[in-house]
Amino acid sequence: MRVGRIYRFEASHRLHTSALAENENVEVYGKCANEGGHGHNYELVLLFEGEPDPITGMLFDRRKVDRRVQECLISKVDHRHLDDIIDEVTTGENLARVFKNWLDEEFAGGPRLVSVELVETPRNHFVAS
Amino acid sequence: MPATSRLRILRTVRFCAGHRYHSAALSEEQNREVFGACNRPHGHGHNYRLEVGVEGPVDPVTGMVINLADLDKLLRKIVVEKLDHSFLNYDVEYFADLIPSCENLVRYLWSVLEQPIAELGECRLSLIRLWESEDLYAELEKEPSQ
Repeated sequence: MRVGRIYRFEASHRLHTSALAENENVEVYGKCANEGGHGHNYELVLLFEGEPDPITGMLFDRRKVDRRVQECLISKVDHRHLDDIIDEVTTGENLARVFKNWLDEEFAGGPRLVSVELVETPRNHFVAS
Repeated sequence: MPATSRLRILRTVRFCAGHRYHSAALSEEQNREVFGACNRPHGHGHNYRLEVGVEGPVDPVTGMVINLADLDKLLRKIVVEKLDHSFLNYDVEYFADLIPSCENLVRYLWSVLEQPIAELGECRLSLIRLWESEDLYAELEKEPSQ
C-alpha cells in the first residue's frame, strides 16, 4: 500500500552557475537565467509505503506528518529565493534531490518514504526515489 | 503488430461520500486526540476520484485491452451506485467495524473489483488509486505480468 501526500509552496529562483561564462549561462538556461530570477507555485508529492495501522486505518497520522514536513521543509522554502538556501543550481532535478535528502533524514524512523516528486509547473515533474 | 502487446489503461470515476474516523478500540478522548476533526460525531465528506488500472493484452481485432463501455457499466454498478452519496460507515457492510480511511477504501475497492474485472476477459485489475482530495491519495498496485 502506498499513500501520496501533496504539499505546496511558492518560491523564486534563477538558473545560473558561476562554473559557466555569462553567455554560456544564457545559452544553457535561456530566460531561466534572467538576472532578477522568477518564481513558481511548486508542488511536492511525498509517496510513503507500508501497511495501515489496524486500529486507525491509516499508514500515518496526516496531521503529524504535515507538521513535520512543514517544519523541516515548507517553512524553509516558502516565499523564499531558493538560490539563497540551496548550494546548487536550483534546477528541478537538484531541488528534488535536496528535498529528498532532507525528508529522508526527517523520516529515517518512519513512515517509509519511497519517492519525492517535485512539480515545478504542470509540464515539469522531477521524481527523486 | 507493435512490440508491446500488453498494456495498462486507466479509467477515472468520481463519487461523493461521507465518513467518520472513529474506532471502538479507543476511548472517546483517544478518538478525538488521534483523529482530530475527522472524529466529529456527524462525519464529513469528500469528492473522491478513483483511478482504476486494467492490464492485459491488446486484442488484435478491436485494438482494445477492455471495452470501456463494459468497464464503465461495471464501475457504475459496483462503485458509483453503491458509494455515491452514501455514508460509508453505515451504508457499506465492509466498514461496520473498520474505519473507512482512504487506505481501507482502496482495499475495499480492490476486493470488490478484482473478480468482476477478471471476468470481463483476459485483463486484470492492476491499480486502484483513490484521491480523497487534491492533497491525499492511497493506492494498491499489482506488478504487470510478463
